[in-house]
Amino acid sequence: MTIKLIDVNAGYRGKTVIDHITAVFDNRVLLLGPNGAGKTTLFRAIAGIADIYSGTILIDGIDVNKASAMTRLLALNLPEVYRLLPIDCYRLLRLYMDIMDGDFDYALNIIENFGLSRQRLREKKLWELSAGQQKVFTTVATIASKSRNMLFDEPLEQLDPSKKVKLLSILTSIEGPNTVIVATHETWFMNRLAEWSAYIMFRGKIVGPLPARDLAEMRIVKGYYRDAITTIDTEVGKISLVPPGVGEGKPLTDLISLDKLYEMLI
Amino acid sequence: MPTLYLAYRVRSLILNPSVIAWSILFVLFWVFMWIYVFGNELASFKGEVWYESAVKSYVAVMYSSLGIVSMGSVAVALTGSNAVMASSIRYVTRFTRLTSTRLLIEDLSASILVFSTVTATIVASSILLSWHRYGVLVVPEKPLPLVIVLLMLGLFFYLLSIVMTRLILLFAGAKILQTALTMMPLAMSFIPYALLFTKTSEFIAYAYPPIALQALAIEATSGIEVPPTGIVVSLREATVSKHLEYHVNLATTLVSYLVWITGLALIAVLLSKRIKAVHPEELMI
Repeated sequence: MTIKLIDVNAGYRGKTVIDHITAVFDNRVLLLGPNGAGKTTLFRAIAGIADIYSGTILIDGIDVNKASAMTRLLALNLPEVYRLLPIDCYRLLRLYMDIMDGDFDYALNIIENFGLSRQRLREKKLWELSAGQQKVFTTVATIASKSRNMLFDEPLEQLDPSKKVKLLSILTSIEGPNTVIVATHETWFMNRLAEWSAYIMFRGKIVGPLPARDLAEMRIVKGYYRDAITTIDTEVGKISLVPPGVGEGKPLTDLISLDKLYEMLI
Repeated sequence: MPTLYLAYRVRSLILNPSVIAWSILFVLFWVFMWIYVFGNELASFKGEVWYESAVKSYVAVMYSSLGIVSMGSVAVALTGSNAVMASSIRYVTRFTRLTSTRLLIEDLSASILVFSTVTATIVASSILLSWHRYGVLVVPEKPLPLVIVLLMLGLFFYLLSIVMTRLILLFAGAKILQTALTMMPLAMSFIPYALLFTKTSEFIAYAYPPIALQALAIEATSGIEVPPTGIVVSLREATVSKHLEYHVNLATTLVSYLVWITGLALIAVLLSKRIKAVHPEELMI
């Protein structure tokens, strides 16, 4: 089960967001990057939602642009995927489990465990739920689809701490030889998912893979550094990511959120 | 076997507040106005030889034309909802059982079912209210042709809504254009209504087939052959002269209809190749 990107250039309405990315994602992958790095657009491109200007995306060897009725090949937790009909969440879940060949009872059971009762699901449309509840709904629907490739964009965002732990435990317990990619800007994931392979993404470009454990030990230094694994050229200056012992810098995990990376340049 | 999409699409359209307000309640208001206000004088002729025939043609004109307005309102709801679901469709047609063809078939079936339900509500209400006001039960003289004409109109407005949706996606970001395009099916459904009262050249009636189809629906309901435009005026004159100058030409109507349906389908396909992915946040409808 692999997702292979070959020199992919993608974006929206003529604007490039994903800049010539080549990568192979398989097994368990952590995709790190600050907001605006292009993580969501990368997921949209893999799902065929964003425009692919050049390059090829292969999911288990199938070109995403030629995919049709490929149930259980790919699922993701982006809310725009679940906007097929403006109906209540209960029926929306039934609809998606029906067309995805997913497990409705399993999904409903997990969602109810997150405090969303059947009654509430019947009363509310997806956009009427809180941001955290929407995240639970779309993430659980993705898991319940039992797809061979699953993409989770910021799955724990907007959730309270206890629900974060609960959902992460469900995510990490996904079994099978499938590909699971979790995109996030929160650095603590590197320690929690230390066994996963990690990619880091900035301004539409990607670096990796390397073990999440190793990435967690990386340090950030201002400016260009010769032995850096990557140097990011931002609008406000350069930042380099260096292995421990190579240079004096702040540990990557100290940032908590990768959004704070830019604050280092102020 | 259809997916749950078909049943849920029908449900969401029927319960759509815009469909309930504009396609049913608003049109029922006009049914009421036609019967109890505009047609008040007609009731005073009860007992005349021509009374029953006059009521039949009056009610036929009313529900055929208002039925088209109702369909136009449903098409507005379809246009808006189609635009919002555009990004889901890109994913769904690739990675679920709903292929593009299956989605089109289920969506068309659901829409036609809703067009039929809404039109049947208008027709049934018109028959009941007119029976209450005039004491004449106006059941369609030729029900099968009437159903066929209404289905043809349903397909026309369905394709029109698809084209409008794709134009909206093409012009995403331009609020005025988006709003105008969303309401376009309703505006277009009023053209046949307006031409009930005005005689124009035959060319106009066949250039825009809902006008001629409206006349065919009136013929099927009343059993009286009518011209394509100025129907109300012609029926009044015929009460005196007992003769209608000319009536709608079925063959020309069918040719015009087929040209439009083919044209709309082609435009929809051509636009689908030009439109880019639009995210719901970009849509201001």
